[in-house]
Amino acid sequence: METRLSATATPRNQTAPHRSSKSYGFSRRSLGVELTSRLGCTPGQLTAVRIPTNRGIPKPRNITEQVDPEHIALIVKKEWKLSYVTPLYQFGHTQLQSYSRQLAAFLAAEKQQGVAVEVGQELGFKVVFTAVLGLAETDDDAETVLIQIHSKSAFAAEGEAAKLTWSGWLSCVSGDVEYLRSMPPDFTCLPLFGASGAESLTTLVKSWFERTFDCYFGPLAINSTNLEWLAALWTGCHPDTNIRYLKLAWTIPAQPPLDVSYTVHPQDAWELWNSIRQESGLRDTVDIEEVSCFIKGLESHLFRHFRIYLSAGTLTKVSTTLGSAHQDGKIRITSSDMMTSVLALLTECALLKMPV
Amino acid sequence: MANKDFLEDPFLHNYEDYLMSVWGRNPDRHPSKGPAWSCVRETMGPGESEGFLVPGSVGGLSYPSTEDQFSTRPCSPTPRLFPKRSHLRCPRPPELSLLRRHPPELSLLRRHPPELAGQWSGAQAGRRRGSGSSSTATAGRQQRQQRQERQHINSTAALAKRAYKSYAKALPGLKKLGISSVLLRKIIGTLEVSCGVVLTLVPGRPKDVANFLLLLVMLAVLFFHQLVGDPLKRYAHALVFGILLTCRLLIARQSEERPEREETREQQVNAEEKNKVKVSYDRSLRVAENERKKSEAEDPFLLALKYFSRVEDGTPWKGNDVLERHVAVVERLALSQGLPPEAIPVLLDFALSLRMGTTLCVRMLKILIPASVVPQDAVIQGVSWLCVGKMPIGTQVMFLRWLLTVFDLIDSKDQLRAIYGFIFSFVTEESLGRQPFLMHLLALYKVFSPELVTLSFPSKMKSGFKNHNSTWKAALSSVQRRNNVEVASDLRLTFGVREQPVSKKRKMNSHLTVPAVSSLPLRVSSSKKALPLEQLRAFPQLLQNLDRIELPAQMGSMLGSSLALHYMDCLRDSSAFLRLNFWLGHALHEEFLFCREASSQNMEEAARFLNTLISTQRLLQEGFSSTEVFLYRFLRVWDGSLLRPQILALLSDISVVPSSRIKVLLFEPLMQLFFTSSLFFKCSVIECLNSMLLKWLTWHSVYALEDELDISVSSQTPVNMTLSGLMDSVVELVQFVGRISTIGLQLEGYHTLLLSFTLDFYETVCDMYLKYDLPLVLMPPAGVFYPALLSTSPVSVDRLCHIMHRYRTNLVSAKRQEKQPEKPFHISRKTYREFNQYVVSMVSCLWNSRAFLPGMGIELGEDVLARSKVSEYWSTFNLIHHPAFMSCAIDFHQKCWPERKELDLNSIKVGKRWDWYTEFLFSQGFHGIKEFVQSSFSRRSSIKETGNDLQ
Repeated sequence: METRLSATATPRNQTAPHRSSKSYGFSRRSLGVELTSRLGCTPGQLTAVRIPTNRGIPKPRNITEQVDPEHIALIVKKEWKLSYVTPLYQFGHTQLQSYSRQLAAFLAAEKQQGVAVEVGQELGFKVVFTAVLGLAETDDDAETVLIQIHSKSAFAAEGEAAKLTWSGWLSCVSGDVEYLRSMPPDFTCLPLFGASGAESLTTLVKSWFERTFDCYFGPLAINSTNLEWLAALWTGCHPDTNIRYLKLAWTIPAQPPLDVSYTVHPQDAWELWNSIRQESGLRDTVDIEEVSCFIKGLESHLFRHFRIYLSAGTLTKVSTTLGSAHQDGKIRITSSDMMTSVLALLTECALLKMPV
Repeated sequence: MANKDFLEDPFLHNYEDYLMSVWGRNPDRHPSKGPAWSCVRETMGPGESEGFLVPGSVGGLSYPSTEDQFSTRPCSPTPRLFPKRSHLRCPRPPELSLLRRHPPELSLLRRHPPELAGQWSGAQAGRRRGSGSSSTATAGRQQRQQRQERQHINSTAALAKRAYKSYAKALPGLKKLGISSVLLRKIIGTLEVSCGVVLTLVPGRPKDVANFLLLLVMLAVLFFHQLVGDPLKRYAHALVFGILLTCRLLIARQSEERPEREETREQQVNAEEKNKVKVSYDRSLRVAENERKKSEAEDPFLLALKYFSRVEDGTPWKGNDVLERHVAVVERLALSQGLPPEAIPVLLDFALSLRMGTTLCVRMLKILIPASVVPQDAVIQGVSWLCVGKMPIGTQVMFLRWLLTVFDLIDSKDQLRAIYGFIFSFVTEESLGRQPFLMHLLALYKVFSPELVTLSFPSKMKSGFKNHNSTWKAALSSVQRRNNVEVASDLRLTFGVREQPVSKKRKMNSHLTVPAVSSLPLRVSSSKKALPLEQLRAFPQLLQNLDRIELPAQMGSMLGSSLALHYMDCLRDSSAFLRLNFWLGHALHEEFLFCREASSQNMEEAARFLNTLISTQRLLQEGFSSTEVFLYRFLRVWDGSLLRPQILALLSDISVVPSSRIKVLLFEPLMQLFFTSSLFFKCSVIECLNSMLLKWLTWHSVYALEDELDISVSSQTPVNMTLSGLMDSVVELVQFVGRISTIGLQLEGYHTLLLSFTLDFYETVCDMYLKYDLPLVLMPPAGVFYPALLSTSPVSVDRLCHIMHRYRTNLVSAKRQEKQPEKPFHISRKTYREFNQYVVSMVSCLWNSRAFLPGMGIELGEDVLARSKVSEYWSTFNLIHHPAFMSCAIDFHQKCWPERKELDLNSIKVGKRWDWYTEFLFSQGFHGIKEFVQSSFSRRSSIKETGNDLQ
């Protein structure tokens, strides 16, 4: 805040008389670009550089030791609608209590907009902000924040407990270290937002966050490449946890549109994946080529039987018992074992959407 | 030492050598020989050439300058013309209204001609019966009328003849005048028929004239009847008809006395007349007179206002065309531009006084849409009308709803507040009942001031305010958007006024709405004295509180207010800019890159948003980094037409791109678009790159610091851009433009427009050293230089001369700079050589008629020249035969030898005439050529002098 005080004279005025020069002073245009300049690359190159072509092999691990099982239970088995969030300004994990109150008041005010609200009235909303500790993978990741909204219906009987009507979380798991480190301390980067519940409440919560932390939400679609990654990732887990099935859905842009649902026996899928892995020599990392090879194998199998080129369409959905992911940004994580890897992948998707 | 240096310099050495050889051979053509030359030389020494021309305004010639080339292109229709003329157009066909206005006239006209005939025949048949023996025989024959109609007609004609004979006899004066009974009959008959036809068919003044004539005829007929001594029975018909005619004439005259009424009738007549092929001479005279009258008359809206302020109580509104017209005028203005503040009291008073009934009151209230503000007095007067008590409930409700709609637009509310008690008691206790649209408002008021609202409300009211006044609001917002002003000037600087209401669905999808300025009450602010930005109202307040202003919760909201932008201009908080960049980048990405839907409304909104962004960046004089990131991504998917002016304007704002990235980020996508698009797109790309270069150069000349001496290291990040880094980028940019303009010119057949934009760019480039202090001189490529030199447009050649002159000035001062040890600055010999070669080409082409000869710059193969079949090809591009200047040469030739019939342009070359001719060219506004000639050719004497000194 103090830096503002020194800003009465613009740099232009200071330097106008000095003509012949060698270097340039600190101009305002650079404010806010530090983020990118610290990364050592120019704007516009930022995201192109960060798209990874290989990843470490995900190891299913039991995270219940680090994370409160209650919190995990709240996250798994729900379908989440995903969004990306620009970094939050002046967000503090220590002030979650105060945020709970503010959000509850905001919701009440918005819901009853235009109606005279008497002071001291029961608000009808109860909001709980919880920090889910232990989900962060690196030191730079901010801890995940879980938001629950309980509300009483208008016709609820006296003394009836408020029901959980909406829940959501903000998360960052294994985010790009360089990007996170370049963030000024005022900002908290929690790029991934999942919401489950009424759409109207989602909109209200988003607008509260936008007003309070000057951050902005946008829908996060999972493109087919990432769906392929997920398919490979889940298939790779088969020996450890039985995935039961690998279900893939394509949309072919034919007239009329053709939806292809393709279920593979888990053992067959794993054998295909394993053979590809064997061929490329069992390294610690998985290449994007291996993933696309896996999907191509599945596609050519279908072509052999039905004469349909799946590569002409787009992959829209991938599901196993471990979870499911849809192209339009809906995801369900059923097993806590693979949660971190999936969240890491999604965090990466969300960071790719960052405007700066 | 110095001498040797000097002689070895290829630039000067070559140049003098060359000039000497040229002038030695051709002493007549020596340009600095005449008195005009030497005089010019004295005033323009080599050291005095500091001033340079403003680009785009060389002399009296008007170049397509960079700014207005495209901004003026989309010529919008001038809207001023239409409202003025449109009141001429009648809301419905004029004939119809005319007929409706005079129903008795219509029946009269339709009925009378047949009646007339019957009347006459009857009258004359009666007369014949009582005159002599033959008449009885005729009467007997007439008893079988049904079967002998033709005979009857013949006989009545015969009777008429006889009657006329008696008239002629009764008035002996007629005989003296030579008017026989036959002639009299014919005159009267013709008059009757023609006047009847005119009266029926022709509207306007001829109708009145016909009426008058017919009346005279009737009088004459009556006179004859009287003269002969007919009984009343015989001329009763004529008498009645005469009275009818008189009445019609009186009514017509009376309506004429009302000027405005007459005027519109005339206008209607005029409008009708326009469709008629045949317009008589005197009528056209009258039309002209009407036009004059109309232009002198007042604005129709003022007339309408005058009418509404003066109209009397109880004036009927049904079928009142004057009223209709005035209402239409008001309605049109209200819905297009809104009503001015001074009109609102008049119209409100008219409506609420119920002077013309309730229907009109409601109608007037519906169109009472203010353009800017509603005067408080009008509202108070309106409220006072409520007390009169004759207003029906529905109208009262209507007025209250109107009041609620325009409440925010009332200019001041101090007096209104004083009568709140009355208003509330009226609203709650009078017979108004419980109006649904008021209930919520009153319920809310009850919370704040329970003493005013005594109503009790049902405990379970449906929540929320419904939009009860949507039509008014829609009209109001459209009017305001059209007027493009926010409600009041003092509000414009503040933050309270939001954009027009956006539909909810759109609001959900839109990312381009600038958020409202608000601060967070609960956030811990650093000091208690902090002043939230939304509380600022005026610029002086901003200045006083500059050190304790608190930033808004959403930085994006600052874009919506000019005060906030002024504050942003002096802001050095990097977090704040990062927040702004996050918001802006998010909005741009979501709207243009991630979002698929696109409609025309979106485009309008997008254009508005981008224009706001552009004006913000212009105010801050630099682009936001998020805009740059967005542009680099957007350029790859851009089709080159979507929002082109905005995108190119944003593109020209981007900061210096490091030369290592410039190709990938900027040049590759631009090149693809450039070569696949139209001529105009090419021009706008060159214009955009020119303004980009200008901004980079300006940035350099302003921000460059002296204290850091770092040339060699180029850590190419925007923050630590070094001089060499900038120079690399500028070189890349200039070379890129050189490449694309070379190929672009070829593709477009050396179009003059594209050439002009390219020369604009080089006008910036040639002055980089002197004007912007960037130690860099870059010559244009041959693909730009020669097309300009051999262009058919004299403007291009002239500008090229100007550019070459500026290059020369820059090079000369760079040369001088090179000798100073403290600031070493080296320009490669290649540049000098290039420059010299261009000068040699120009001089040999334009002055010495030695084009295409060996060693003269442009060289062509012998066979090519032979194939052109031009015998003296070396002289085809001198100032006389150059296609660009040929017309000037012919002009000059005619002025020199006005008596000569055959054209001999070569005679201009001889002797003094050449000097005169160049002087003539300068006087035609070719200042570029003048500069070039003066700067280049005056060197000779100074070189000579230095040569003498050195010897």
